[in-house]
Amino acid sequence: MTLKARGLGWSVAAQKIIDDIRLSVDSGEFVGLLGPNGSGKSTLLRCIYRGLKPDAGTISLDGTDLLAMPPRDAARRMAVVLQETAIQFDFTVQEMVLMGRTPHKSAFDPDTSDDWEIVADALAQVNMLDFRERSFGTLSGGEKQRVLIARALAQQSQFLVLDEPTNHLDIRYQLEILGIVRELRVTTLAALHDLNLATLYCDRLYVLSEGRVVASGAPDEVVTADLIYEVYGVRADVATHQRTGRTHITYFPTSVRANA
Amino acid sequence: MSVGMSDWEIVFGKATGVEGDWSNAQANIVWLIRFPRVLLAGVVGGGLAVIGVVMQAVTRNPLADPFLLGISSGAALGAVSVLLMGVFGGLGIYALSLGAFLGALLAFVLVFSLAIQNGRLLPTRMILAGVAVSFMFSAVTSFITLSDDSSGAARRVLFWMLGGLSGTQWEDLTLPALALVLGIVYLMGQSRALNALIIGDETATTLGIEVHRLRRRLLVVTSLLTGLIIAVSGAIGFVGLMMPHIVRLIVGTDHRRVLPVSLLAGAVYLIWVDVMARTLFAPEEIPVGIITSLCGAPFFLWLMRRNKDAL
Repeated sequence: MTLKARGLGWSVAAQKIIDDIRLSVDSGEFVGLLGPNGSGKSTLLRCIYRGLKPDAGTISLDGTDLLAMPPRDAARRMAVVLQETAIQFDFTVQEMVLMGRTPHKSAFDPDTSDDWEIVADALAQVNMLDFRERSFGTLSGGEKQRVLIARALAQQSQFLVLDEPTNHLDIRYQLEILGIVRELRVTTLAALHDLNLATLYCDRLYVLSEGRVVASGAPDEVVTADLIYEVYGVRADVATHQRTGRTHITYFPTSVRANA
Repeated sequence: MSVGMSDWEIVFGKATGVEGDWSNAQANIVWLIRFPRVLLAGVVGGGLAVIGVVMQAVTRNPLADPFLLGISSGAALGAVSVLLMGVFGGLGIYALSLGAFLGALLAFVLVFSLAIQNGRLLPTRMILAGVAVSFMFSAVTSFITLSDDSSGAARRVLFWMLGGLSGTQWEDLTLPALALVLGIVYLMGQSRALNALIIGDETATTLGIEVHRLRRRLLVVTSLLTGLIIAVSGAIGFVGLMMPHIVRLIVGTDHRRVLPVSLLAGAVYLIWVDVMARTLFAPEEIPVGIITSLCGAPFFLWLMRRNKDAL
């Protein structure tokens, strides 16, 4: 599954929130989307998962126009894990995951044994099978996030979109969540907050600033001290970590001057 | 007079054409007066509960109910316009239903558009908009009622508005029962979509649901049901609020279970409330709306304390 976006734009009240975005995700890739708050990451993802209708540009999934696709077809090809929000009505964990079967069902289709098998597999993949009867509302943030990933898996789509999946999680769960997604080997586009985690897990990165792509490529090419200063306004040291072999960023507090 | 245990025999006999040893008067009391009333109580109670389920899912607000959101007062205004001003006069007995439906739809659209800001539905605004719309429509209804010169107009409207099932005839049943059957079939077909919608618009979108289209349809379906039911029953409050919650406590949130069980629970509940309405102060009858409000208002307060985020 490959995703290609060209000239993508969305504006509100004549202000361009994202502008002329060109982005692609190749089959099997884990691509990260970086950028400070308000840089347009979430808006870009929304346009891709059709939560917003872009007012310029095209998006294609395996060569098919995504914006013209019936919603059900789109949902069979692309699963989305959104930032978790509080819900007023509680479902059990397995009901939540079973919802992932929705795009495969017509009006009065019952749940089949296949569906339940898919749900159990999905829960097993995120190590949540023992929680299947639990109520979703009683789970911790990391557990909820894992259940939502299981729901995306139950959709059995070949393309996964994640909007800051590690937000508000302890570092252990951040690593766990990204590790789980990485091991799925599904084509993935994820908005991420933490640069060190992005360089650790992503094959390629896009950096957004003020609604435009300012850098893209392999993590070690993209994440440089200059870029971090330019985009985030923060001084940092960038080096290859000797244990992980990945680019590692050390931020300097504002009291420490660069090159000091 | 007491008909007693032979009620069911008479109903059965009437329905199947079997003769029995009951008098004509007994048969008429059961078949023409009691039975349609019990059936209507079931249809109204079940219908209001189903409307409550859908409204709570669409608005993602556990406190949503046709009465709290002003939908009922819209229906009431529509119905009173028909009762007193003769709008849609050419439609005969369906005029009241059409008026109530249009009033309900108008109120729903109004409350919805007031509650949406930047494409997001704000629960607090929704309740406040509902209260405002409710008061506005009630004021117009009162104005129309009071400016009507004909004797007995105010009494007729008041009696209708308090919610009562007395004097139910078989014709009253047709339209709401038909609408309820069609409505529940349509809604059961959308139950997976409702499950996704109750989580959030964006989640529903990513699961392949055309949220805006679905919401528009649900709006029309619930307005239609509300209008048709209120036209025959008057204002019966809090059934739509209470039943879905009690049912969810037992069967969970999956609408494939919540919808049919709520239908049943609402029907049973209102049939018994109507029994109370008839017998508590017999031979004097009290409007069912009074009893449902007496039970429902404390329930609402309890629910409000339990769901602190809803407001």
